[in-house]
Amino acid sequence: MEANEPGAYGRIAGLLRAAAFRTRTRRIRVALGLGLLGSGGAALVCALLARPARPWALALPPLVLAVAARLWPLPGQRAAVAALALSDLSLRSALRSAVELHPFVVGGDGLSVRLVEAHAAATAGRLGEVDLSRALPAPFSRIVLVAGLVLVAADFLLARFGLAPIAAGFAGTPSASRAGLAREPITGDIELTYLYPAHTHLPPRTVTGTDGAITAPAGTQVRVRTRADRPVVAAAAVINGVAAPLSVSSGRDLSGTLICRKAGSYVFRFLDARGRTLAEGPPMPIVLQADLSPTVVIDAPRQKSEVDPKAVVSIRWHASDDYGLSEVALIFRTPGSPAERRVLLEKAPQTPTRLSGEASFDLAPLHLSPGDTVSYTVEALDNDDVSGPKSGRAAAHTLDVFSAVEHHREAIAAVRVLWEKVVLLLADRIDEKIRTAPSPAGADSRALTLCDQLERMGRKLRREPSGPAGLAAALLAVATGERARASETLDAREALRRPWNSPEGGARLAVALAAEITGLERDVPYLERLLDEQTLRDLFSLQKELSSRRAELAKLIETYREKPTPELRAAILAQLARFRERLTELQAREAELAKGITDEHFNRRALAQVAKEHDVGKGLQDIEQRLARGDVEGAMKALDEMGSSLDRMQDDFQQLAGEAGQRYPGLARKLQAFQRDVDAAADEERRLSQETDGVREQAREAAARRASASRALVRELARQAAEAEEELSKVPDETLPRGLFGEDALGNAREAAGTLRKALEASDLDEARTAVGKALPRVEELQGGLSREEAVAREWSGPGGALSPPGKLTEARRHARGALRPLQDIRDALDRLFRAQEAALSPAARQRLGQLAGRQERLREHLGQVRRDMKAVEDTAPLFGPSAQEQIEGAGAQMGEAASSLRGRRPGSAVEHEESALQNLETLRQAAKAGKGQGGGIPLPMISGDDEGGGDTGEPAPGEKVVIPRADQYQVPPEFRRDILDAMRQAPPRQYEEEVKKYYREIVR
Amino acid sequence: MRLWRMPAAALVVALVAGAKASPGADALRTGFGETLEELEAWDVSAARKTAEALLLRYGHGSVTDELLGRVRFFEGDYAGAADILGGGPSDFARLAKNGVAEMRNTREVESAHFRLRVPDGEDQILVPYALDTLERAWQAIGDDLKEHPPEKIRVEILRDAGALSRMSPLTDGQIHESGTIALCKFAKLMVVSPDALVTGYPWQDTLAHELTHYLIVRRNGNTVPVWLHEGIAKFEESRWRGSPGQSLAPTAAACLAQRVRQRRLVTFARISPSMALLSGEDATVAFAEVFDAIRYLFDERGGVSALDGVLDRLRAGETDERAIAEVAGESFPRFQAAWKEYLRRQPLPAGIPPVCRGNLEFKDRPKDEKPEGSQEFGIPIDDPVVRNAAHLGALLQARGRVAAAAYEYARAESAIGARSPLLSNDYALALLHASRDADAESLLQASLRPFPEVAQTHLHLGEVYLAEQRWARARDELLRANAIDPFDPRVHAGLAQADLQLSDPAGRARELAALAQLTGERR
Repeated sequence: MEANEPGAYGRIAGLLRAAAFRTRTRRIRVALGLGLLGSGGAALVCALLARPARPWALALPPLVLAVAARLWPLPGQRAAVAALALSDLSLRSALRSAVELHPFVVGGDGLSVRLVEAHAAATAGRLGEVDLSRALPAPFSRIVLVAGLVLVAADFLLARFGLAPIAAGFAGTPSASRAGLAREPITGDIELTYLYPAHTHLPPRTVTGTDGAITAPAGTQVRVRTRADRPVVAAAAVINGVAAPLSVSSGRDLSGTLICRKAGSYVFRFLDARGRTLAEGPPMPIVLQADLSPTVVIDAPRQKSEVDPKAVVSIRWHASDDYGLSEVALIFRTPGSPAERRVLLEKAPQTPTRLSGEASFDLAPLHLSPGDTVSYTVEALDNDDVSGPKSGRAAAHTLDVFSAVEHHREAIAAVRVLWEKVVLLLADRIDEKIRTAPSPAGADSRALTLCDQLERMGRKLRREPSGPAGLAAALLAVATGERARASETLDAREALRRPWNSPEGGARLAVALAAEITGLERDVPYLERLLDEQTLRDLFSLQKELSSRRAELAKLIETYREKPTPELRAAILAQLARFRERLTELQAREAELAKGITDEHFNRRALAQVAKEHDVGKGLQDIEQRLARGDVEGAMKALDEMGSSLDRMQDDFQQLAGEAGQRYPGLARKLQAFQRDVDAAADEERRLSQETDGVREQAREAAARRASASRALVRELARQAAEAEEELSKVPDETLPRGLFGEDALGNAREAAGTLRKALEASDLDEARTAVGKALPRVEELQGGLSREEAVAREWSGPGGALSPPGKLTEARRHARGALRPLQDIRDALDRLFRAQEAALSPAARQRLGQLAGRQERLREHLGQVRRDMKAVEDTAPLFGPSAQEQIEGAGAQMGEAASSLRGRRPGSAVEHEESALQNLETLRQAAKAGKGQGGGIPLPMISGDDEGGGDTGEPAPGEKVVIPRADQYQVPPEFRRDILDAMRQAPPRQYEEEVKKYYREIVR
Repeated sequence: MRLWRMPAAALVVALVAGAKASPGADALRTGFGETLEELEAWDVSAARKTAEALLLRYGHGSVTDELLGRVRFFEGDYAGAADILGGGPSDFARLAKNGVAEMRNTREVESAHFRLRVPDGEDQILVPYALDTLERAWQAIGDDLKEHPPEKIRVEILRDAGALSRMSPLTDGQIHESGTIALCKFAKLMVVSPDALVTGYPWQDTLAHELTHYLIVRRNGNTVPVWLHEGIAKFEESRWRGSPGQSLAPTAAACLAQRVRQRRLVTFARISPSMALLSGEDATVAFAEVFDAIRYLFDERGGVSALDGVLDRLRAGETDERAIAEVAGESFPRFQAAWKEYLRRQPLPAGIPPVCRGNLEFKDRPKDEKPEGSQEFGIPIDDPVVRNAAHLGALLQARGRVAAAAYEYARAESAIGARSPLLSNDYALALLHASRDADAESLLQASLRPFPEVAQTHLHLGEVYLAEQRWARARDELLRANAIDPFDPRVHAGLAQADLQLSDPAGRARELAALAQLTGERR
């Protein structure tokens, strides 16, 4: 009976077939379930027993059983009927009958087919009542299957999240499962012998009684020796999961070698003959010691240094490593080149742990230009041959090729900052003057601080080899002038604050303020013009630099044209890259510089126009493109055109700079007038001096004739001078220490006496006369000083009084008096001699002297014009420092003295004064010449060493002239000192007695 | 004979000599002459008729084409003229070609009596003011001269001096040298845009000035000598805004007074054939002279009717000397002597420095021209103390120290007074920033007395009045500024504000449009 039979039999067959399938399904479930139960149970048991369980072995049983159940033939129809658990027994019987009778339907066999079919039909009709799920229940198979699945799932969960040993057991690491659970050591004390890698130069080291922990550098071989806690057949050390056999001796002594390649741990494992693990010890750590990279330090030069382009830079370095160094190299990079270059400095086959040295870095072959920067460092490699040499580098250093323009620019920028402060100072003073704002607190001290800053900047600029000397001089001049004025303002303001200030105090402050304002009004524009001029000069200096770089490039390309090599090409490209970098930088600098120019006459449009017309960047691009194409000729031509462009640009800038520099036409004219007048005065004074000297010569000859007749007199005078000198030598040095103003009265007196003696010995009566004129007042002063000191000694005896006892002072004074008398005699004798000499002057000579006197006086008056010229200049720019004023005054004074000597028929004296006056004028003339602006630019201040004001930067200026003051330069008039010492004799108020004593002690010390 | 006629004459000879010798050549020559005369009299419509008749009669030929080309040129049809004249030898061929190029990117606007052509862009803001000025001038000056031409007068605003040189017989050098910024020629007015000059110039008066020339030519043909032309034009150029004779700069008047005393006047003979051929100082003096001569005639010899009488007589064929003598009732030498005596008797304007050089600085000045001292109105400040003070004022002002800046400016100003409008303006600004408005106002007023042609002064004064809400006065000043330098956006911003307050919506709209144009499209 087939299911595809039509009719009832088909339906019956269908049911039975479904029943057969269902039965098979039950079988498969049961087989699978039993298999899973078996495998899951087995795995669990293995895990519990810490036995490794093969996963494939566990999977096999359920699979086999399931397949077998699947392949088992389906039950027949009779078996299917028999299996049906129908509640209606009649139906079951009917089904059985239908099955059994089916063959008779086919075969006939005398039965009523119709009846059988009717029976089959009736039976088929009742099939609708049959529920196979009830007729063939499968709870058992389901239960079995589910149980198997549950067990497997439980195993899985246990393996993942379960107790460690069980999880470990599932992981197949029975020895690891013991670690967390009180796994006891299975060996005794462990002896470790470290055999370090060769490069570490470390000797072998044996450590006994360890817990087995290994700490060593990578590559270290570690010999392990230990004793098992039981007799073993075989053992192994499992390092990071990899087993290494250990040799067993005497059943329990274990030894072997481990190699530390990476950090982790290792365990001892005992094995049976078959290699199965019998026991396993706890894991012991392996810690790798890092092999550090070398450390390198550059001791010199500093991290950032400025050098000449052809300098040889000495680089001092030292390197160290934990184990050893193999080589040291200099690494550097040149501008325009992205690649680093390496130069071996030292190879160290002995691989020491420390190395140091000094390398000479020759910059010349690099063909550097001003403004270029070379970065460099020193690199050291260690000797690690396990994981490969490691490198260490010092901090990057740079060498900046000195660029005068850069320095200049920075200096100008710094000066501009100060200039801005000067402008604001002016504003503050004006605001105070017009009373729109009270004087800000501390304004005066800020003004003085600003003066210090200006002065420091001026000195700093002066010291720089290529610093703007004119600007430096201007800053110093401004600082000097403003300091004096600001000090006066400060004094006036402080005087006003005093309760007893005078009614004129307010007026004094107003005058001081007005003077400051006037000075600043002149200084601000002057400094500004100088800054503009410097800025403009920088502009075309930058252009010049560009031109010279272009020339270098041309040379390279020319060489390349003759002999094209890859190296030259690379050099050209590198040079082009540098040129481009520099060009970009220069163009940016041009824009920046041009912005700083405040000269309203500088035509910024013209500047922009010039820059536009000479677009050098385009030319550079053209050259690069042509070279890339291999068109060397074309590149040369383009380079020539660029060169012409640069030359034209330079001319334009130079012209613009010249125009902008001519901003003081009026000042230049006034300065010219001043110079002219000074020249004229100096020339006339020279002529006067020469002519006077001529007359003096005549007089001297006459005197010489007389002197030869009175040789004896001269000898006597010389003897007297020696006597005076002798007396002075007997004055103890300590009796009269340096005076109030530092002068050495005794030394001066001795010097003058010595000069007198020498002059007389040489029969130079003129000189002798001058010398006695100087010696006498000094000796008088000495005597006076000693007298006063003696008085002090008598008044203030005791500690803190005069330095010498009165007696000693009396003795000293006696000697001084002893020197005085012969000097007076010498003077009188010489006077008589000269009077006679003057009387012996011929009428013509006397007349001549009179004429010369007249000329000298007129010249002195002419100095008034020079003073007016100076004032006219000074109103516009601070070109004359105090020394210039002094020179004029000095010249005037000397001229006066000269005129007086000429009238007094003393040509010798007149010549001296004339020469002094001439010296003053010459100094002024030279200063005026030096102050002329460079190349017709703005005139510059005439600063000498005297005018540099106070303030000490702490650094001497190399080559700076030191002006040695004259011996009598700082002498205070004797009257002034006498006044002080007279005041000492007066009794002070009682309550101030001690203070006054202390005061005088200080000032006479 | 005018210079430009000489090549024309040569051309005629060449053209006609080249024509076949026939009785027709004489007629052609005559017709050519007639057309030229009509063109010279700027009777373009008559010239067109004559030229067309010749064309009809003789057909196209070198002569007829030349005439037609010129007629088209005079009509403003540069393309047509260039077409006909081609690359011929005539100057007009060159001018026509240049005209085509220059008139590219321009727009034409018409009013009742004018066809105004203005370049695109910022210059378009000139249109309403220009037309207003022209119409007013047409009416007022036309009334004075009794001439109201029927045709619409062509006016061309040119971008710069270069354009004027290309559109006229003048060279670039002559224009810069003489400071010529406008011409009335070829039956049109050509005026350089005030944007071509650094500080602008009184362009509205200039429009009226050139229109006066046009009206004189239309009235009198070519019978008026150049000195009289310029004198009347200068005299009348303020007529559009009030009475005549108001537009001579006080500094130029002072210069004239100085020259009178020095007996260094420019002769009228030198003034012919053109003022544009005189150098800077002489040009200033010449304008002042002729202006003053006409003013003398006007004031002392009968007003407008005197001018009328002179022009009538000139038209009738009399010489200028005779015409003046008849009107003045004395011989010309006596008239001249009386005028000079009158001049000499005029007191030197107090506190007005004589400035005998022109103040016009073109933006496109030749490269080799150097700025003369400080490029500003007034006298160059040579005194270094004054220059320093002014410069210090600028430095302090730039750093926000306005009180101190005002102090320095005051120091400079006390030395030179109101002789430097630049200084006065800087000082006034500092005062304004220091909230000293009244002082600023007095200063600016004092500066205007000698230098009324400085736009900045009017602008700052306008701003003072705006701040004080004196709207009408503000507008007056700003309009004066606009009449010199209309390209300063502040002028129009101020005017818009004033117009709003004065309830002038049309004015405000115009100013806002100008402002938008200027702030949106800066050259």
